[in-house]
Amino acid sequence: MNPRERTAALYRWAELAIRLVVGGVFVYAGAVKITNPLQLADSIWSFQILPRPLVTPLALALPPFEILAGAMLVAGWRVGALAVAVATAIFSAAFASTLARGIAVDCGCFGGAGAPATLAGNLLELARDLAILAAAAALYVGRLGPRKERRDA
Amino acid sequence: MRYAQCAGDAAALAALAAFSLAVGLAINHFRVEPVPMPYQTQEQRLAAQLERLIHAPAFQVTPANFIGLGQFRAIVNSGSAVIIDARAEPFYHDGHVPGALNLSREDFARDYRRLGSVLAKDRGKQIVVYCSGQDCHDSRMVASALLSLGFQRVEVFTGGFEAWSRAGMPVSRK
Repeated sequence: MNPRERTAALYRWAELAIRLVVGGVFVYAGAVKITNPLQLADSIWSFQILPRPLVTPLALALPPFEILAGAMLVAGWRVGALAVAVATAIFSAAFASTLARGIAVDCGCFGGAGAPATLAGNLLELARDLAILAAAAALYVGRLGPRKERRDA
Repeated sequence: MRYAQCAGDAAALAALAAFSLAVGLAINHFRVEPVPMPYQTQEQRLAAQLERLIHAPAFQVTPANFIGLGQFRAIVNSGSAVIIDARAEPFYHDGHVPGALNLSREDFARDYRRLGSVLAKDRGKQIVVYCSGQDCHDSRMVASALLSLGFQRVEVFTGGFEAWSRAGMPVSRK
């Protein structure tokens, strides 16, 4: 195996790993939240960003969206990577704004009124979101364009 | 080429979002307790509950909700229901039906705050309330309050603690 082939193989494995892990995290996050949309609505409200009429629709739509996007990413669809990237970009922005305003929110990322919300914990969650964002964005960009198709062919 | 791909992906993303919303709305429609639209804050939900409690008709419990000793004994033994002792705290501590929780008429608000999360965990679960004996009203009032708070299956063991202990059934103390 020459170095170029080895690099290509490494990329393929890395891509598969990212897809399974990030997609799996999304499916899991959606699945644990889908049974308790009211709790999710409470945590969305705690961000103090969305006006009241939009809180319930988002709380209802988000879990199915996460499950579908995660499944599409695992399946290797380009749109899945885009959906995960866009969603985490929005989560990160929302989180960053709560940090900037100094309000500790319960992110509700994985359902559960778990540990009490702290700014330090929120920072950690922001870091996790940014990592997922980077991974998903890299996957999406990597799959764009004719270069990819040629390589696959 | 790339631009066309990105535009197509954006359209697919929008479709995915719309589809997710439709799925979420559909699931919510069939939920036992759908999430209210628009959103109500936790404070508003509590206020609504208290409002319902305050304005609830006083005697919602009818003889249809009454059960006798035999039935009560079977329910206690099966452990499938929440048993509520509606008497004041000292009586409860003096002796109560094994496994019963103390939600007294006297200190209803305080006890409900303490037990609310336990009770709310399974709103559809059967609840049986008793008080001291045949002539007491505490169990009926507490049962009414629970019905007003949205609990569905609330029953009253009319014989009360008197009938229970007179039948030689086990008694818990603490």
